[in-house]
Amino acid sequence: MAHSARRDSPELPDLSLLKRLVRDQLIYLLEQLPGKKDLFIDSDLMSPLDRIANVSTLKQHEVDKLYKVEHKPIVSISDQICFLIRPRIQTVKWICDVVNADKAVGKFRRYKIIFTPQKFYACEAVLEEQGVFGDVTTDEWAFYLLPLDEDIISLELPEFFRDNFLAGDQRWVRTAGSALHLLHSLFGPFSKVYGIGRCSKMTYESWREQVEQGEQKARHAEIGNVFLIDRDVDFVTPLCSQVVYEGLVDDIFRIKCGCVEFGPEVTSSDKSIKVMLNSQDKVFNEIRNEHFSNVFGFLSQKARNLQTAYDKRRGMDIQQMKTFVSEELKGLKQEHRLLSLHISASESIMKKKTKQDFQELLKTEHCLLEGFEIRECISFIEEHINRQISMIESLRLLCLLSVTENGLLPKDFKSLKAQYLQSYGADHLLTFSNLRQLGLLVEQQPGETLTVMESKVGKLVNDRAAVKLTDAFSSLAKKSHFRALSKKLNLIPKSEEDYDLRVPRDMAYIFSGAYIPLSCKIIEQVLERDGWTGLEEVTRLINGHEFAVTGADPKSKSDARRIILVMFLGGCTFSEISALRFLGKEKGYKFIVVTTAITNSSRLLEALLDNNI
Amino acid sequence: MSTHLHLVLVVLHGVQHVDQLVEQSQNRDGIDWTLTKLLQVEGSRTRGLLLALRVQVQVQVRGICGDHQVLVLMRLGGHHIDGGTSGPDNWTRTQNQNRLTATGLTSAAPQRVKLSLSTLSLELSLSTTPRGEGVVTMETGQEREPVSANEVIWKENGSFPPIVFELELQSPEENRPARLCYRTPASSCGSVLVRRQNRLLCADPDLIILLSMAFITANWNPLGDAFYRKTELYEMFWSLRDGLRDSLVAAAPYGGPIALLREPLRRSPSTRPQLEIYSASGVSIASFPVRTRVQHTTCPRVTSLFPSPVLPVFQWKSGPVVHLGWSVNDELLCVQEDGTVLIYDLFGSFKRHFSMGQEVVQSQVLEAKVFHSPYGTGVAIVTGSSRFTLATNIEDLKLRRLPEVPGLQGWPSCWAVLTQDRQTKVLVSSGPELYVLDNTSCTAVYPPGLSPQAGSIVHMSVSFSYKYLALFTETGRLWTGLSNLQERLSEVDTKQAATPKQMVWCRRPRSQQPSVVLMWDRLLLVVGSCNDSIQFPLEDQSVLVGELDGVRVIGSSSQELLQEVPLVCQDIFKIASMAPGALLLEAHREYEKSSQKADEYLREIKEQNVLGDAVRQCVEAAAHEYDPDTQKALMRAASFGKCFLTEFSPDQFVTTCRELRVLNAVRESSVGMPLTHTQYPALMTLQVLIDRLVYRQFYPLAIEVCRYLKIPDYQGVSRVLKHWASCKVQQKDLTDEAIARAVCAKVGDSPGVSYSDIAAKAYECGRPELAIKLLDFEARSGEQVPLLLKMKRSQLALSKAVESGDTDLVYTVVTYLKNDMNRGDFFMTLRNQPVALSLYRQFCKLQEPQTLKDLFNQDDDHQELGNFYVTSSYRDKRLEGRLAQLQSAVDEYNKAKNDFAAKVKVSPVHQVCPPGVDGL
Repeated sequence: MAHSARRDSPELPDLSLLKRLVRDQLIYLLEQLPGKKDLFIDSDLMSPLDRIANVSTLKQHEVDKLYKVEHKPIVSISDQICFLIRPRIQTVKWICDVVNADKAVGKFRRYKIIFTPQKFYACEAVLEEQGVFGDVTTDEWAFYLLPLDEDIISLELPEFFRDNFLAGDQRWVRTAGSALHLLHSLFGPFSKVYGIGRCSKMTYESWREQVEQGEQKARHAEIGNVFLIDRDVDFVTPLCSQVVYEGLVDDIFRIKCGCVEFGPEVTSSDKSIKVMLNSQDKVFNEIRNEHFSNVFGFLSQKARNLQTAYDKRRGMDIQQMKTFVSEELKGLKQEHRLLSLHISASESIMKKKTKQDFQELLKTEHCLLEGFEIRECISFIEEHINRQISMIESLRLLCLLSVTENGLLPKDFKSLKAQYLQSYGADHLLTFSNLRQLGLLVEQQPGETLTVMESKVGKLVNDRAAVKLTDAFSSLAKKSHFRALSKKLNLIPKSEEDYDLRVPRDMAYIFSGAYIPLSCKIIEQVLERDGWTGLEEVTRLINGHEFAVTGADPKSKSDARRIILVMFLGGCTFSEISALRFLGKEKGYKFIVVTTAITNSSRLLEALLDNNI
Repeated sequence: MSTHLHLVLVVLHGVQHVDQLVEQSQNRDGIDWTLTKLLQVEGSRTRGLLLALRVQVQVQVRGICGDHQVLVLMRLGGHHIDGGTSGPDNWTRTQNQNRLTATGLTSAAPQRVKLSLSTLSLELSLSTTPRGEGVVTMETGQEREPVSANEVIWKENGSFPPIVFELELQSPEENRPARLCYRTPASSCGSVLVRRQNRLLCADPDLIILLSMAFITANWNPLGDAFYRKTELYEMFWSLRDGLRDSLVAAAPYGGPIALLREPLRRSPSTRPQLEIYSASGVSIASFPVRTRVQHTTCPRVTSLFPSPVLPVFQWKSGPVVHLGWSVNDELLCVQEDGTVLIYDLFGSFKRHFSMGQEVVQSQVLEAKVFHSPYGTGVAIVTGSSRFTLATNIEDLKLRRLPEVPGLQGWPSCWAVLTQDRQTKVLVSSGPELYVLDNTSCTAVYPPGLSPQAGSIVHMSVSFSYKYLALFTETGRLWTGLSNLQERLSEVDTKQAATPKQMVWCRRPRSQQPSVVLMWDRLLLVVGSCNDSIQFPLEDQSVLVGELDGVRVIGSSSQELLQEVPLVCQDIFKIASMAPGALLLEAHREYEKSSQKADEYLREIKEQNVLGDAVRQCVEAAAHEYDPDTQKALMRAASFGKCFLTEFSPDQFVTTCRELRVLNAVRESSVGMPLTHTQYPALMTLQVLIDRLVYRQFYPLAIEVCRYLKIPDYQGVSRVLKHWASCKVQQKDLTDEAIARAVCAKVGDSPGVSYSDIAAKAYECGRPELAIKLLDFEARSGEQVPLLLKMKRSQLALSKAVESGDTDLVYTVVTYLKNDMNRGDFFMTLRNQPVALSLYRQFCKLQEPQTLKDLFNQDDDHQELGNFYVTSSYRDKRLEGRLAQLQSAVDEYNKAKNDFAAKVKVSPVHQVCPPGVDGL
């Protein structure tokens, strides 16, 4: 890949600043409650917190014991309790129960709830309703952004996707706006902001509002352009199997906050170990963006290099040996350890993928993307369902089929749905209802009942409301125009056969040359055109809400203009990040990806399952 | 000639030790030389004044017209030279007492006479030279006898320039009128303009300073070590037919407004007492008749006889008013005979009322007092049954009935309210006894050191700070001491038998010589603790208002401020002062005249290394002066001195300049807030000052002040605009449209002005349409929501909340609507707002599943209802319950025409399938 890269890539801004800021704020908040205290942490805040402040830091600030929020009666004996939670009603209700239980037995404690990244009125309302509002103090920890790597920032809000796109609950929009505002105040001012999608538009507006309210400081911009994109603009990409190394690792081992836990089958011992996966890991850094087929070759080459390096010590005199041991050996050892880990991880991946007829699966996906041999694909899916290979995988294929084909024929829809329910349980009826609402799995309907309903409702209410209703409905049951988009944007490369994955031509390499991710393609096109002109047809198909706004500061240095912040609202996949890295190298950009959470097909669909109420 | 004149002046200026002067000058020839030598010998420096010297000087002036003696005797209003050499005793050694001999000065005489300028307090005596050539001559009268105005008469004839003044001097001994003329040439430098009888203009370059300086000290009266001055604040705008006679007058401190109730005790049914409110300069703010209940019950026809536009407002209330007072918030309190206290605002509109207790209705209020304490404004009354009732803070009314005073029947001879030790007490004199009343007890007290023969106390007064107390006894003795009655300061025999009409403390922070001002019908007496006193004749009925740093004397035609001259002003202006500030002022004066003496003075200051002090003194003195010309002269001097300093912080100078400009602006008689520089920071912070201006509706001035002082917009201009707009929306005679346009045009998008606040005001005034119009200008939709809710425009509120994108706000509105509307309407409202609906659904899913069901029911959303039943079936622990739920789900799916789902559900396998177990 390296040969095609432009050498003049700009330097990325130092994102670790974000970490320092939130760490200081957390410490400040903890010190607001002086004395020994027990800290209860929301389970999904554990890993992000670990990246900000480790246990010893917490202990230094008089945190006595750490507990995970488990929605059970607590056993803590401390008389000061601090809760570090996401602003969720269930958790707040649980805290109310804890407080009320203490009250019932006459135990007096001090309670402090730290909401992160912000508190919601609904949470306070619950506190009030349960009669504990006066007993607890609340605070906000503005932990909006967690830098996962030098070019990835995550909001760590997986529920953003479901709340915003499925339930139509816009409370996180402001959070996203605040996060953007934080970046703007640290690395801005931004000279140009592009965006597509309803949520992006609202986020942009929320951010603008905050900028106008706050005071402006003239500073040197480190990030020039910003691109906001909704997840529902492109559902196809996250539904595809990932074949880039990092994506694969995420699909199989699940990377959590930039950290993966390799089980015994990888470590070839009886313990599992946690490994940080980021650019610090030299081996990983070189293979993370590679197509999986290249990884083995690369790893063996690396192994050979290592061996040579080790071999150097033969024939060394004492002095040379001494420098070797003191300078190189440690690095080599480290590299060796990582290399062996990644090799065994790759082996493990190979094992899994071959077992499940991975090639077949990929072929089906590619057929779906291209729109060939749909019948055979359906049979494959049926078989997949009936063999109960994986509940999520089957669902993924169903969704992919529906999204690419713009809905299933009623006959297919019924039969596939029935088979699925029989295989995986009738409770998925609710899941199907969710998927339908999101437009991920829909039935092609001859007469659009929806429009009928729309017009009916439209007559009832006034025009302004009707516009909003239509808006709302269209977001509820969005039609996919993947086929048309694919043609318009050339998402499917023509000559798949002779695609050399070792020397990728375009971003399609991340899907073995079969498909250029739609989201990344849009970004590429907009940056190339410096706006949406010429893409009118595309935006119409995506259902609009696109915007491009030129900011205040045109004289920012050219380097900053080539650093582009891409904000995925609703999550993005590692494949997309790899694609953007590739695009950056090609065009001399540097991308910084901000996402509400790192997602993949499993996470996306799990968020939509409805059996977890 | 001018040399001669100069000689005389400077000789007099420089004199402190006259003996030395005589010695030195006797040995010398030549005038100029004598002067220089004099200075050196004195070791002192020349400075402005000579007039206050009581000097007898004999000078040998040989260089002019042969050997002649010059003897000058001057006396000006009883001024002394400072230091130990002052006083008449020191001068007895000099010869030819009371005799001025001037030789060869015939032609210079007219100029010299200009020294004698203050008509009220200056007595200039000149005796003729032996040759008696045209020089004004006069023997002095008795020492220290106050000189009345008609002994020295100035007549201004003709316009300036030139001016001619005529002075007629009556010599008491020789009984020979002396006429003195002075003619000035056309003025070449500034002028001092006389506005009233004891000021005049002089435009002679040589003498101008002398004159203006004379005027500054002209109204100074010595009291012990200190001086008291009476400055005129305003010529009152009002024209009162009967003066202040028979009126109840209340004037608020800190230059507050004046309320005037004419003839409060007249109860004839045909006339009503008239209540009027004026600014401190007498500009009428409001005026309205007060109806009494007596009239209302006995003579109902009165209403038709005396129609008045404001009448209906006041019809229901008002017995005879006993006392008027102002609260700290510029509200007028009217205490009525029946114990009701009515509160009006500055513009006379009724705000509220409260009662001082039921028992008062029968016993009636005899006397009342409104007082200010750290807790706010309080009211104290004494009833016909001789009981005291207190309310410490009218904002937070708690009535306290104080214990009975033993032996007190009817009116107490005098009483006062004290605030000490965070307690409010009443000090009452009953016959020969003095009692302190607090919440629980009545204690007899004895002022320490009060002579036993003094008799009973007939008048008492507490100082502005509640720290000092003055008692006036029936024998005319004035006792002063601490208000806790622990220490006596002094006891003075005023030799006045009558009870004073008013008695007020006159002090200032860091007072050297605090005093008590007593007022009788024709006399104002200032009594200091040093047994010294000053008397002022009073022309008409006046009212004293105690201030933080003095006493305001409000008469029917003018208003004056009586105060102790601040130390720094004394230092600068006192006759023969050697203070650095005085020298600097002199230096600057010389500089203005392009005289090289400026440099000499400056050098003298610099030699002592006190230039910084000099500048500071001038700036400080300027702050205390009331007359802008004097302020200017001092500030210019300070600015001049500042040029010669390298490391001098200009802060004080700049701040004082700014503050003085603001103070001068608000002192303007059209505004009428005679604030002194001491009062300004004490209570009146800048914010308060602006608030007061705004409250009096001086919006343009308030904005000017804010801009001038560069107050941040959101604290300054915006706040004023907000008030202006709030006031504007109350204008009944304008249409909604016009007001909205006017407000928008003025307010624009000034930062910090919230249209929603203005709209809230409009709504309060009963103009909801205007409120909505104004709300449209509000940029932040979040701000519009609370008011819209208050105005019951819930639909609009909801859509604005949704527009704002703030889900917390949406949720607030939803919660409000939920409680406020019936369910059906509530759900209908939500249906039109998908964002709110989904938010509410999310909440219900977790908190109120039943509501969620109702919500779906309302929408006929059978699909969702089906889903809902399925979900809840998983929660049901019992099999039957679960089946029932599922059956409902089937029904709903059928209704939703979702056959597929309905059929799935009948499959028995899944009906009993426990949650969490996927397909079998």
